[in-house]
Amino acid sequence: MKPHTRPEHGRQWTLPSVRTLGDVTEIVLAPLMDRKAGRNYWFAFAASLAIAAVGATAIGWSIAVGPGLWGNNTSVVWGFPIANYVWWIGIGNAGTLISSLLLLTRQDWRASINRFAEAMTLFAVSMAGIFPILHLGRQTYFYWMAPYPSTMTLWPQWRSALVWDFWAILCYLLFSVLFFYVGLIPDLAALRDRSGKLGWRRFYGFFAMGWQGSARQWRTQERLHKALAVLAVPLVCSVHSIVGLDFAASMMPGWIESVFPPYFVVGALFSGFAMVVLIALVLRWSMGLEGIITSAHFDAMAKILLAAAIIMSASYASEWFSAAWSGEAADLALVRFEFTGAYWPLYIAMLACNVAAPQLFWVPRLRTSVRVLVGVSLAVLLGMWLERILIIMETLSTGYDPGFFRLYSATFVDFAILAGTLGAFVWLFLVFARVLPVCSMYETRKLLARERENDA
Amino acid sequence: MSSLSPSLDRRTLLRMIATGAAASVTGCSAPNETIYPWVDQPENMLPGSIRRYATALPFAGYGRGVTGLVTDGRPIKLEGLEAHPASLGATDLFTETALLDLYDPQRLQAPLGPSGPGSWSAAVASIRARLEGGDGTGLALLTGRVTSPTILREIDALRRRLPAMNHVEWEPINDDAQLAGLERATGKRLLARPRLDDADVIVALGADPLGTGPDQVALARAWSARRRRSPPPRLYCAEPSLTATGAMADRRVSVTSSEMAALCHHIAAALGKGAGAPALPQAVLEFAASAARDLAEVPSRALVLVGQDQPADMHAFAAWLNGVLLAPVDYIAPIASSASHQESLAGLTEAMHAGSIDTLVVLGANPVYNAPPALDFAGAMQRAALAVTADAFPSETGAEAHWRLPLSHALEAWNDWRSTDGTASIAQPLVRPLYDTRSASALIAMIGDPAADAASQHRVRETWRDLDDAAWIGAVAAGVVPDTAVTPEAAGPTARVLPQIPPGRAMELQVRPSPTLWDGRRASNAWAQECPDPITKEVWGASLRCHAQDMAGWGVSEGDHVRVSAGGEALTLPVRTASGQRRGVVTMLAGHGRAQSGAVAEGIGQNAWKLAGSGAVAVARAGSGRAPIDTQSVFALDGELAKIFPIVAPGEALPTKPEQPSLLPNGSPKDSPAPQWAMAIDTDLCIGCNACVVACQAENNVPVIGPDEIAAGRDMHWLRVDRYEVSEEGATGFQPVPCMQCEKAPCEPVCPVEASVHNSEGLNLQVYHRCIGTRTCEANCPYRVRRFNFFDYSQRSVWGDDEAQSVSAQRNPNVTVRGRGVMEKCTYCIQRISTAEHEADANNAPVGKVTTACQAACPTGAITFGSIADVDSEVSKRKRDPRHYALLEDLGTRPRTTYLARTVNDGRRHGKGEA
Repeated sequence: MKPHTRPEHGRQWTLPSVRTLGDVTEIVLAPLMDRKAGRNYWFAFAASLAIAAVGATAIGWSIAVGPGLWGNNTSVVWGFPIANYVWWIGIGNAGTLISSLLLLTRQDWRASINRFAEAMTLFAVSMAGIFPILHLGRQTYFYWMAPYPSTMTLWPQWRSALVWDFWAILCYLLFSVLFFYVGLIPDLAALRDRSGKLGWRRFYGFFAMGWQGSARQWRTQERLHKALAVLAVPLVCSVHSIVGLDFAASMMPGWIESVFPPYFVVGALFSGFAMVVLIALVLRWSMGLEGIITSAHFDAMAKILLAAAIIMSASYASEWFSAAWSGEAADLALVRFEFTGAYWPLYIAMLACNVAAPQLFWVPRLRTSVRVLVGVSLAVLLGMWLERILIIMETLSTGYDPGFFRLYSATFVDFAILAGTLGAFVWLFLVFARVLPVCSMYETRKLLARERENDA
Repeated sequence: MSSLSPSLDRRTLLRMIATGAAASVTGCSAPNETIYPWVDQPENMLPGSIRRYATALPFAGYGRGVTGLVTDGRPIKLEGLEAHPASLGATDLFTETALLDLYDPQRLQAPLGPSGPGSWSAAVASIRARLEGGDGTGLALLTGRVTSPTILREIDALRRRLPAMNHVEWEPINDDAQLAGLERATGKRLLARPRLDDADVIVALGADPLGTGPDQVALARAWSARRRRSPPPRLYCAEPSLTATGAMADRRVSVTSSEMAALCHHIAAALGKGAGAPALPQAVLEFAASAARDLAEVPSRALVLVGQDQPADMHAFAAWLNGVLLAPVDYIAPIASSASHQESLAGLTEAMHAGSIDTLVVLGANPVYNAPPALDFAGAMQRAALAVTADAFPSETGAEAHWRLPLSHALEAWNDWRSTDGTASIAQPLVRPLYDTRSASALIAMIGDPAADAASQHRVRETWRDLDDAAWIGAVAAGVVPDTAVTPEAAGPTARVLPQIPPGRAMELQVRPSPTLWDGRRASNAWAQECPDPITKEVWGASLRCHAQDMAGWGVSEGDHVRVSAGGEALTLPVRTASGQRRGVVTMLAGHGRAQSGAVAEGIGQNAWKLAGSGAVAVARAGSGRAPIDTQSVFALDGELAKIFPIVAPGEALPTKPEQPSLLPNGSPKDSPAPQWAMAIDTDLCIGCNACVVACQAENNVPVIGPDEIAAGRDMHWLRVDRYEVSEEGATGFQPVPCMQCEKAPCEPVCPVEASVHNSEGLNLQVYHRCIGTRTCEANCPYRVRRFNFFDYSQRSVWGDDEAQSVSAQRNPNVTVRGRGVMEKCTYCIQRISTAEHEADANNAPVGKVTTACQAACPTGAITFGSIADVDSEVSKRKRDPRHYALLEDLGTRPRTTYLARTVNDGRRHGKGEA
């Protein structure tokens, strides 16, 4: 395949300081092999582990005693767990899209960010996967959602979006592991072949599965990787569509909207990219990856965030418009409740985060400003989480029967579980950053080779 | 009598038998007892089957007939008794909740003496020691209202021995004003018994015949019987604060007490019988004119009612006016003593303070809690050398006494009572006493004669000596003694009395009996505490009801606390705006603020009796505190929401809607060979009394979850009664919401494990054992009728440290007890349907009538249940009514539970069209 790069004017995906292919390997592997983790690392490690432990305690307590520990009530029967689930699975979206969609559309700049984005997907989906089971009243029977030969010959109820969801998460998790692993093999071999402790080399060697770098192996790996990427795009769209259908396949105002599946896909991409930007900034700063994660990357990702924000705004507007256009009383009441009901400050905050904040990225200078990037990414992450919880709270607090309108308020346990998953996510990332190369070395080397070729 | 160990339920018993059996094998010291199986099992006595017995329960001293449903020796449900005039086959909240009292772990279980746990013989001996040789001087017996012929006979017997003894009856909610008023108007101490079924026009002046009271079932029945007939009746209501009667009124006005009296003058003047007309607000004047015109229009079919808490001259006025109108009202001599409760208690307390009472026996009364604070009853009790109380539950008075004796529950002993119309019923026990308790009559007998038998049957039999054995058995089985109702007396000529107009007050306090706790005696009942107030929907406490402008005046907002003070007493409690509240009047419910009464009621609310009777009060802001807990937040329906609760004029039909197009076939239930169950609820008859709510709770093993859970927005009642207000005044009503049993149920397709399924009889079933608790069904239920076990509610105790094990003996063995994490909901009492179907199968007959628990309880017959496969069934007929509608019909869920619209008679028949 012909190398295909279209360096834009003044844009470089690697800095000139990175000269040779060996430099790439050095930059990526130095933090793994040569440098000892500093105090900051261990501090973050301990803090995230402690937070994760608090969350794990809260989860254990909830499983032991019941969902009554959460803020859920008879009207708002769903709460944080479902919102957290939708949010986390949405974050996973970006990793898959970067690796697959950008691979297929030959956006080579993805090379230096796809590895940690994929890891992010894996961890986010793992966090997401906790919630559908945790949120059940009787967690021990979660497997009843799977078709297995039970003695009662009972099968899942296929019309339920929750069954689709069960499969969607399962596929997505398995796929993410596989995709991540296939892309990792050449780098594992590189790690195996470097000097270092024997135990670690054996560890890498086991997972490298005898990778020798032969032309045949490269061809097979590349084909498999591309084939998986082709699968990934519909899969990632279906996952988020099905998450959207959890709500849309109902009859509740604010949920029964045909825009939900695409809206959830874009929403997922939106929050996912915000998380990628955040992680990229942290990794670049902490691991000295300035050479291969450049402002150009952030510029590109900021544009994606801006585009997603515009689509999200259109989705919100379509909800208001369709309520007004249809004149459905329940829908109108819901829109009125969004702006004037008990949760209006949250709704306005959500709009500020998701619609207003990313508009800063119209200004090119701000697209590469670290402060603005951090601020907007955090705002988007917060805004998307607010959106998830508001979808649940607003519809279930009101609905159709005014005699049973009830408000929702979360408990300490709810927040502890959310914080716990954040802690666990960060902790998993910290482990990942010390054990595996956070950038795909072989793909970055390819990118560098092409860039230098073009420069020449 | 041997005392059974505490909380002896079936399982404990079996466990004890097993232990005993094991001990007899292995041990050598255990007594060798032989137990016999039922070799010849009585016919029709199947384990788990339900048998029905007629009996009666007291309420405020009056007997009310009930049918006890007993399985395996445990009463598990109480229903109405058709033959009894105060039940007529239906129940009210107090009858429904009485069952829980039997199993309540807070019950007094053994005598408690001055030096700790004691015995009955020691307690009686200590009383007798004080009476030895005397003539009863210094002995006072304080009871509640007594109608029981046996208790009266025992008191008479005691008085023969101790002629100087003093017997005083005290009920904080009494008929003093009415007796005094009628005495003024007719010269006789009489009680009025309105015949609501004969009244075309009712003008209720502070009266709440559809609300709480000993006669509430009979009054509601009579009112609903008239309400069903043409021409449409008209109910007027003038009151300071919204009541059930006000909510059902066709025309309502809120008034202060001075406006109430002035209103009477206006009505009299409009009827040409008065002179002078004091100034009144325009709305009240219009009300008076309209009410007077309607009263005059239907002579002998119009009725004026005055509330129990109104002053005597209001009652006198009503007696006079009803005489003029030839109103359908009977007068009877009081069934219980006609002495004034207020004066008797005041006299007794005075004597106690003076030190002339040295032995005080309090039987089922709680004056320390509910006597006027000026009497200082607790202080007076200190003067008595010996104070003994007997009650079923701990109480404030009990805490002040030297001896606290446990009384049996009415279902544990033989009793008799007379109803409000005098009808006597002989109440048989349904279960042996669970604890070391005695009945009230046994205690009185023991004071007279310590050798008196504790068993109560022969004592009651002795009272009814006139009945031969056949008549006795007949009366016990029927639940009523025939021909014991008193004959109405002629009131004779009535003097014209126009009520004195009290001076206007800046702020007046109205204390009303609680619709759930009455005067406080039901406060320890967890079912009652968790049952929402019909008007405010508050549970586990009550706030002060105020007008919004008054609240603005004090600078408080919803849920803030205020300090209400009068005389030397002050209470701090939260406020809420109540629709229909008169500005310048604040309303408090009695029955809260109990102390030393067990874990359920303690620390909840404030004791309104401390301020009762003070009239004018001062109200001031007192900061914020715990907000009141309620189960409904939106009452007012505006715009599109109003279609949830349509209101029509009499004879007006609701628009018929065409069948909605659907891709899925809409089968017709009429083609079905199986019965097709359906329910129709007439919102025009629902008075929001909540009998159905607790009936459902008792029948279906619905757990009590406690105030904290309800504050978190959780709820377990399968049936809720929503109250809606469609316009400012008048057009409000109640809408009971059980499961709609939708033909196209939104909950079914969203359940991932098929726990929510449909059966061939149109029931939407919930398979508890299949449910994994995703709660998607409730998220998708537009009616919000599903209930989730957020915790293991059935195993949790709201009875504090007391184990709730005894409560589990109340559970219906035919209904699954749901565990944690499971969704549940109304099943149309599927256990009753199944029983009927099994019976039909066994007899090879068509399925007979099935009555759901809510339907059986309903005093107004608002709920109809049956099969719509049968076009002639009662429910099918209702579904053809022009007032018929389905809740949220546009959603296309095709609910099986449907409604008939509330009607408001706006007086169009007079061609005026006034509202």
